[in-house]
Amino acid sequence: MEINSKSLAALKYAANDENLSTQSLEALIKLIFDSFIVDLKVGKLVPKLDTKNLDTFDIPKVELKEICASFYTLIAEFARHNFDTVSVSTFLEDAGFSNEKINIFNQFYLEKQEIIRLFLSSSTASFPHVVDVNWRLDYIVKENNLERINEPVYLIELKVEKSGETELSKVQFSCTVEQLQDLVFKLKEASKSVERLAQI
Amino acid sequence: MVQLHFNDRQKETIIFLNSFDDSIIGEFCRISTESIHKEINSKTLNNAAAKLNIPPMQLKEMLDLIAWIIIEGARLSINEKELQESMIIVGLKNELANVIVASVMNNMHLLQNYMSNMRINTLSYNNLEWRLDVKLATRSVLELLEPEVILKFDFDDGKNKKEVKILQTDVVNLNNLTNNLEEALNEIKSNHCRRVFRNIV
Repeated sequence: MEINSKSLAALKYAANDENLSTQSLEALIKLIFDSFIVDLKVGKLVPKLDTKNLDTFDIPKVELKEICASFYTLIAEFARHNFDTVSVSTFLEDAGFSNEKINIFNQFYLEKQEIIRLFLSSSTASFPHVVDVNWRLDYIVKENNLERINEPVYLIELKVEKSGETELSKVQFSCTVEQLQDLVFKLKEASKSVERLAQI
Repeated sequence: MVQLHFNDRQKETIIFLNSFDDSIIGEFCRISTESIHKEINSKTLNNAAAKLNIPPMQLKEMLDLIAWIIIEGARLSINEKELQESMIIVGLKNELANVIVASVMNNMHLLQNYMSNMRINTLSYNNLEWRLDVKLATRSVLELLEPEVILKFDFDDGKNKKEVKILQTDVVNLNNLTNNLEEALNEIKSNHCRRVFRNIV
């Protein structure tokens, strides 16, 4: 795993105890990791960095910005490669961080690793994702062109999530009893094969 | 009790039909059936009217009336007895009514087929193909092990237009989808539905 040289330089600056004390680092890292907020109402990760608190650190603004940016890059790369704490420790050691600082980082990283990976995986190319289904059973009695129809019909609505859109879209279609039987049969086949896969 | 309801003008035309014998009425029925598919040639109409010694407009009215009876009969899915009665009540002779009833019954199925093509058509399900994938990695995240099901729906527009929609789900949503639709399928066998189907005829 490689980090660009600018970020690496900023990290080395942060590793140096004379520039950033262990306590300050802890506060900074906590701030950064805490920015990965999960909005429970929306059910999604909504990252937000509270920039007001950054003023409390007594590091020049430019360096502080670069350190923050490089930490975000670092965390993203660690999560992307699914690094465990051993690999993280090795990398941070090479960058010059003290064991104390490394332990603090690992503590936060372990806690947020899954959430960060979840967030990263939300930006992939994908087909519209089915999240819910609504159905309705109607009985057609008559129409203006034909009386005495007397046929049951199903109206199915699939709620679908498209990547990049916040609103759910719908896929609506009708089907007869036989068609629905066919559909359910095929979906059950699919579920069974997923189960079998899980047992391998 | 389904009945054909004639308006006053139609009732007059029915009375006029009585002045012809059943073979001629049979001919009328044949021409009317054809007129449903293709408009009658005006020259043929005039020639026929001349042979029968009646004004062409009157012949056209009678043919239109018989065509109307055929179409309405198909729309209402009327049975022989009801149709016969409807026509006799407004004064048509028995033998002539028989001829017309025979013609309506012969054409009913075909006409109902045509009419069912004029129904309101929503997008209807045709077929589903599915595929089970395991997502191993993306550009932003490596080392994944995520199962994913791709669903390819084939839909039919009703106007011979096919639509294909490709969607995906994960395991949880697939199970939810399957369970809900299975529940929907079981509803048809419920007592409530059975009662409704039995009683709306």
